[in-house]
Amino acid sequence: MNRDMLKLRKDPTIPPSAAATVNTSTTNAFPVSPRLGSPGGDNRGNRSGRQRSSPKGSGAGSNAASAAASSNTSNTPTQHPTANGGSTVGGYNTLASPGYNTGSNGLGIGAAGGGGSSVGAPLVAGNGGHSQQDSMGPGGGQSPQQPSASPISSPNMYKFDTNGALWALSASPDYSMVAVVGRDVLKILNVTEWGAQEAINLKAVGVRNNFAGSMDVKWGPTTGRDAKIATIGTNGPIVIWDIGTHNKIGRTIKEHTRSVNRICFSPQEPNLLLSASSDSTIRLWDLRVRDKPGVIMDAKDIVREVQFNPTSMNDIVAGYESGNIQRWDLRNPLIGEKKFMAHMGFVTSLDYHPSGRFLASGGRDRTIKVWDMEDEKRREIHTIPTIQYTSKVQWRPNRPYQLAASFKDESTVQVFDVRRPYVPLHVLSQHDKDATSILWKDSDVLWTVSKDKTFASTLVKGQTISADLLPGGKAAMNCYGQLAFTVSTKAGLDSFERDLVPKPGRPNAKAVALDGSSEPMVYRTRQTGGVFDCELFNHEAFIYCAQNYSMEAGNIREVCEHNSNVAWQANKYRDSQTWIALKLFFSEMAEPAIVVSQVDAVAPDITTSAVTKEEEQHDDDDDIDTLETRAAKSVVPSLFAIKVSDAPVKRNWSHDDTIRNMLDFYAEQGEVQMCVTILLVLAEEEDLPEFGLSQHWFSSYIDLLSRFKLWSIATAVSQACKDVRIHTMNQDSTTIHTSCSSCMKPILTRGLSSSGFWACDRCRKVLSSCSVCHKTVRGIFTWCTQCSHGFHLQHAQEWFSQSAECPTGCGHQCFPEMLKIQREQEQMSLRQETPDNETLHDPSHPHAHHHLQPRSVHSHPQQELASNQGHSTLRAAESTDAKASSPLSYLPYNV
Amino acid sequence: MSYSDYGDNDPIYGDDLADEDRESRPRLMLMGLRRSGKSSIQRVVFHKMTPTETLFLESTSKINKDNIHSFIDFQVWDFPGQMDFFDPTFDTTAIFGEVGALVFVIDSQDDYMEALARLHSTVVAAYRVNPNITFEVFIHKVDGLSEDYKIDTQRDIQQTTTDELADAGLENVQLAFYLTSIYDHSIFEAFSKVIQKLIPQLPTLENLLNILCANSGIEKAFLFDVISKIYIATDSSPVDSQSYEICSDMIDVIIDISSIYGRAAIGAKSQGYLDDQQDQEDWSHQQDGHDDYEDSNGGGHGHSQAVVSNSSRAGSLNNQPAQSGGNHEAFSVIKMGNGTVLYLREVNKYLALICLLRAETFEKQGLIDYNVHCFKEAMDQVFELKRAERTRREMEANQLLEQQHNGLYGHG
Repeated sequence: MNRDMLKLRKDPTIPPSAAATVNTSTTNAFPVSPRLGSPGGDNRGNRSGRQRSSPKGSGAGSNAASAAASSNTSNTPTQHPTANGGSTVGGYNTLASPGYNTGSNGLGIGAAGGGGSSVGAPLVAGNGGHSQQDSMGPGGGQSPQQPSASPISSPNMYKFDTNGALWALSASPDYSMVAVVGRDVLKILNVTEWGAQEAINLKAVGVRNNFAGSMDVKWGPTTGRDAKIATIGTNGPIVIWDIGTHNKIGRTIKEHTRSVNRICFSPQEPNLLLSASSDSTIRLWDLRVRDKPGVIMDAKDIVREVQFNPTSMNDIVAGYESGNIQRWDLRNPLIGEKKFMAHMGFVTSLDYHPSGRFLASGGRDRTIKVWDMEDEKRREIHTIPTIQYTSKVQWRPNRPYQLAASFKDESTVQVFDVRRPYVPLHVLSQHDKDATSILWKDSDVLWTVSKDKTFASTLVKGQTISADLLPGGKAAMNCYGQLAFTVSTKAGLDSFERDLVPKPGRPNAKAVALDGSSEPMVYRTRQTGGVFDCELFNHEAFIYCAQNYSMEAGNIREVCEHNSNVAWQANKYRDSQTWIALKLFFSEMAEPAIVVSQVDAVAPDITTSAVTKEEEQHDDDDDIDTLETRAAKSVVPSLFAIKVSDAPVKRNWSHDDTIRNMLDFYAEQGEVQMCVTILLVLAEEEDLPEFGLSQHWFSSYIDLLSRFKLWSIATAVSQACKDVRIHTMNQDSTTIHTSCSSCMKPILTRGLSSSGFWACDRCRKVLSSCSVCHKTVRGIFTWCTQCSHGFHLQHAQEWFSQSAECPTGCGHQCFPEMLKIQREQEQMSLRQETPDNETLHDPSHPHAHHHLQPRSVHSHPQQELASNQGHSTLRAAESTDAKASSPLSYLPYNV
Repeated sequence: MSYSDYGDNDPIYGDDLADEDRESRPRLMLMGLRRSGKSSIQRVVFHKMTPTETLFLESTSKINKDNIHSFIDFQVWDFPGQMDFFDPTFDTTAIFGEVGALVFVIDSQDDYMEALARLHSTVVAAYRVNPNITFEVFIHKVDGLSEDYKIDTQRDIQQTTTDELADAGLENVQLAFYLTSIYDHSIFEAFSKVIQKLIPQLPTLENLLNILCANSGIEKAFLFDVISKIYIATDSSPVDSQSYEICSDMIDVIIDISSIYGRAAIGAKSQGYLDDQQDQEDWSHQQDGHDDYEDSNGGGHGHSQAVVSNSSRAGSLNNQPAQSGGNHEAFSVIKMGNGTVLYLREVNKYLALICLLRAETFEKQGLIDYNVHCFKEAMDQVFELKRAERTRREMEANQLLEQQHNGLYGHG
């Protein structure tokens, strides 16, 4: 992003003045035509600032969702730009990520910064420049796409103040005039490309008729002398204004017993008006007939919204307080047609797609949903999560996938592309207060009204595409010291359209093309990624030590001896020395026989000097070897000396400070393994000081062990720990929830379910059945991670010794190695004539292990999850190609 | 337990029923399978029990009737889940004849197939007896469900139920579905909507509130029943859960503060609004054998009084003292950080008006006060009318019921 900005500034083809113009225009995100009295500069600055922040805020979910983002955020350096110094000490992050814990801190951080350059860059750019540049940071990315924008002449970008909070707007059929209404406002404006002017103020007439303001307004499709607008009075009646001839009230409809929530003119029959009311009726009025009471449709529920289908005269759709949407046929007003549950809480807004087939609905549950009204499934085909509930939603003309929405208590209006639901396409912040209603003038110009008393027109074309503002770089490190990263690849003009790819997956995927084309398309994220092996962390040594260290408390002498050997084996010489030193500190008496001859050679205070020497050496990473020899030389005689002094050694002086220093040192190095093991070994010692961070060390170590799948060691550590929170951490969330693998419904057993664990009550299928014998599997259930079909272990062995294909006939080659192995074996058997079937069928055989994961049904769910996470960290960062081929999940219901 | 316990000759049952028939207050029935949470709902909403305490509720063994004395008087019947209402010994006509709303509670965390079957049979039987019942389905205990699963469950239940009813030829029966939990405000909100359907004056109240909002610059106004935290009316703009929750919390705060700092409401019971409007008999009438309710009702009443007499002190941040006199004018103001003002004003003993408005609008507090005063007068007029017509309506209703009885017996 900032690269583009820099390019722009340095590009010799752009004269400096032009560059400057572009800069100003982008700083002022919404150039306001000066003729119309733009607000002050402060205001503008605020607005552009907000414009920058809001897409980021609303896109936070998508940040996490972007394909390459890792689930493991605590390990993502780019999430903590301030941690660049690498000096976060003792914090959970530092300890938990092995990437930090060896001597070469700088490399890890540097690499991470490089990988996530596009994240850090805007921040840095913002810091470097003054405040205007800060708000321009994202604008830099926008400027190449908006070459024509100049601050003075930008049509369709203006605001008009109407002196009253506005609630709704409606345009005349030729879009030359617009009616805006609010609680105290009832005005008709003349609208041109360049601005708006007040044409008629109907308020005086309204007040005279005891009708102060209006909650909704609709302009009838009739023109000329018949032109009409309809408004809903704040105190109930629908008022029809004859504005074609004289500006007065033509008719007042008071038949609704409760307030009217929405009115709608028929697009085909200009004199038909629908009204939706809280009195649970929808009524159809023919405005040519004065005394006719209107057709009543009894909805039996408060009707919040009603809309005509733009392509079919008799088809209307209504949204209810209960969250239902129902279709009505005007020819049969007695019984409603299809009704379906759309939202939790009321429906706030409906809009038919211009095709007449799809419907967008906004509800209290903060979603916009798109429905295929011809589909019988009653399932939404797209869902867009929004920041607040929508007050109004409207499809963008000529862009079949785009819609605009305004929200309650939200000043911005957002334009979405349903194929990319988590990032709004544009975020338009024309208003200072809640935008209340929207109207597309044409495919590029959006009109909005707001509680800040203004009517605004926005040129949507050329606005910043908010997806471009999202950082594309992410980095995450796994426990093996590998750094996975993504870098966003910059796309050119109109990038949004170019990123379309056919929807992957099964052809019967529920996505339906809204533009009539056959193939549904989805957006691809513009990112490339890779894995960088940092080798910052010696995980082999860690695993070896974890597996072999003794954590037994009480017998310090032997345990230290053992651990010292283990550390030595793992080439951790310093750790080995530490263990020896510990042994000396805490062993009571030792080896009297050997000692005697050397007694008088050393004075007792050498021990202390040896210890301090070793401490000094801790800071010096270079000469571990010398340390080791020196320590070995000096420590051993000191032991003898202590021995000879014939006093209880450990009572003579306290080791508190030494131990504390030692642990602090290891903690600072990130070696929680040492910290924890030492604490555990010394657990029985009475005069051991309290360590405030020990809980952190334990949880970090257990976390690390879990990442390496050393479950039993992790459990042993938590069990050995005296701290209550660590000790009981395995007792949390021990409930195992099961769900049916075919319908995803949870399997409930505590109720009156007839079938228990054996079959799903809902879809009536046998649960976890063996694909070979079709019986429920008890004990070890084995399944293919790709096609998710499961078997008895024995049946799997039998089957896959014969075939590489899935026994269900799904066509998946569950065991591609099988072909290879079979071929090899055939060759072998030809040669040796002794086929070795045993090895082949053994599930612990590396090939078998790769694809068939044996899992006990009652295994620890946390373990499953943890392993799942560990792998997703790795896999998420792989490129999309790799993604398609790799098994995505280890849990069958995720497949 | 044998069904004959609930037979017509049972003294507890028969006598009470006769009483109720005379009184003809709207009846609200809580039904559902056993352990679906009916009694918990009743305790939490009407008896101020904390949700966690409901774990220790014994299962209900007989029909538990509660008279709720509030702005509108109604009666809540809590049915034991294991009861079979459709046993021949059971007088369905007597049960369903007077019911205003039937609330059917379904435990969403359990397998609800059986509950749906029971719901179906209940609706069919009740509709046959009394087609004017409004049926409300509470999909209960949703606090344990994820958002996605919530909507799936509701969709599933709604679809199954309406399809089954359509198959039974009862397309016209309208069921309303609510996702509820006693651990948040959803149960109060659902009950608000149920109660609102029982209030014949609702359109008028709504319209009055609309006018009040439009003329005073109020964004949202609720008319709350203080004891139960149910809102009996609001203006016609959609209710979003946050504004309801904050108003509900405000009532809690004010009740709490006033019960700490409030003057003891001695003698308040015998004077004031209620007694002018409502006959003492009606108020003091208590069902026999419902001591627990009597207690909690007394407590609730005390709370209400506390608000009346002390909320001016509670909201004393920037208030003048409440106007003295028989007509209590307690009010309270909470100004929030985001520029919104919560303005509570006592309407009468049971009701409080809570308005949400912007701080800049609240500068004209005098205007708002005047408008609220007008609103109160209008409300008084509405309910004066109600009282005048009450006797007449009762007579009519009795006649109607008799006709119905005769008609049914004729068919039978």
